[in-house]
Amino acid sequence: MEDADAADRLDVEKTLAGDHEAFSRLVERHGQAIHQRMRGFSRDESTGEELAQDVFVEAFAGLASYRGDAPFRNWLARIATFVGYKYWREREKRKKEIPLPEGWDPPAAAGAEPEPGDPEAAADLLHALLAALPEKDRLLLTLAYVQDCSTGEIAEQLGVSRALVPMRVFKAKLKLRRLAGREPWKGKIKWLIS
Amino acid sequence: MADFLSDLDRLKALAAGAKKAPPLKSGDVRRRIRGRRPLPLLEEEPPPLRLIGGMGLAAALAACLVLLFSFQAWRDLANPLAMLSALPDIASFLGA
Repeated sequence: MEDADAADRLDVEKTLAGDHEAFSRLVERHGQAIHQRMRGFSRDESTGEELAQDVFVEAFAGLASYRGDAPFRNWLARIATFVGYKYWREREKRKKEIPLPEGWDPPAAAGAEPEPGDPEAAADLLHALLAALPEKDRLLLTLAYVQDCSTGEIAEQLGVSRALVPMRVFKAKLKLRRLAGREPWKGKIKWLIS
Repeated sequence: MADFLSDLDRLKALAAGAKKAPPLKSGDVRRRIRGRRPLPLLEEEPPPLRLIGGMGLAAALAACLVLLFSFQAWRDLANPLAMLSALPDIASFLGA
């Protein structure tokens, strides 16, 4: 891991010196992990890819501000969280500006019925369940529950004290459990894992 | 509740088997970087500072004058006797 961190630092320096190939190497090294991370913010494939590209575009624009005292992947993860959260907020804002007609179902829910035990349907359902939570709880659980980030990583990405994170995650998990215990979520989960 | 917790955890475990995101193509990212619209604060011409400074100074001066005149008017209104006592001077000045 230290070798990879050293390679990242070297490529950052080379990119800042004008070597664009070095930035391509950074994209190749971290692209898939960031892409996977952004799927936690949108289950739509093209949106997930676009968000992942946004992360690297933002990283390129702000590369001079990377001080190198933490691994490059941590810095990138922070940008990813920022980009993902910004996407949610803009989406919410758009929803408020253009209200959806009554009885409208999101495409995933309106699509073909999934089979029990289908991992894609499970991921979609978990994503939809989290989306029904308040934004801050959703963000915390996306990081802690879906992406399995540690307390330190969450604190670093959200810019909050480490001491605050476990309590907030605990409270958010309680909300998730309460929500998932109600219909229609409860029935859907039972059916999917049956 | 305990039974339900395991349901949620089982859902999470099932979701973990969903297909992973493919690698990102560096070419696509580079195209996005090239096509990126410049940030106004970074790449546009800086605002004409002298003009802004001049306008600020003029606005501050105008505000001072307004304050001064309103204070003067308030004093005159508050003390009508002083206004009346000044009338003969004004009349003599006008040659009445």
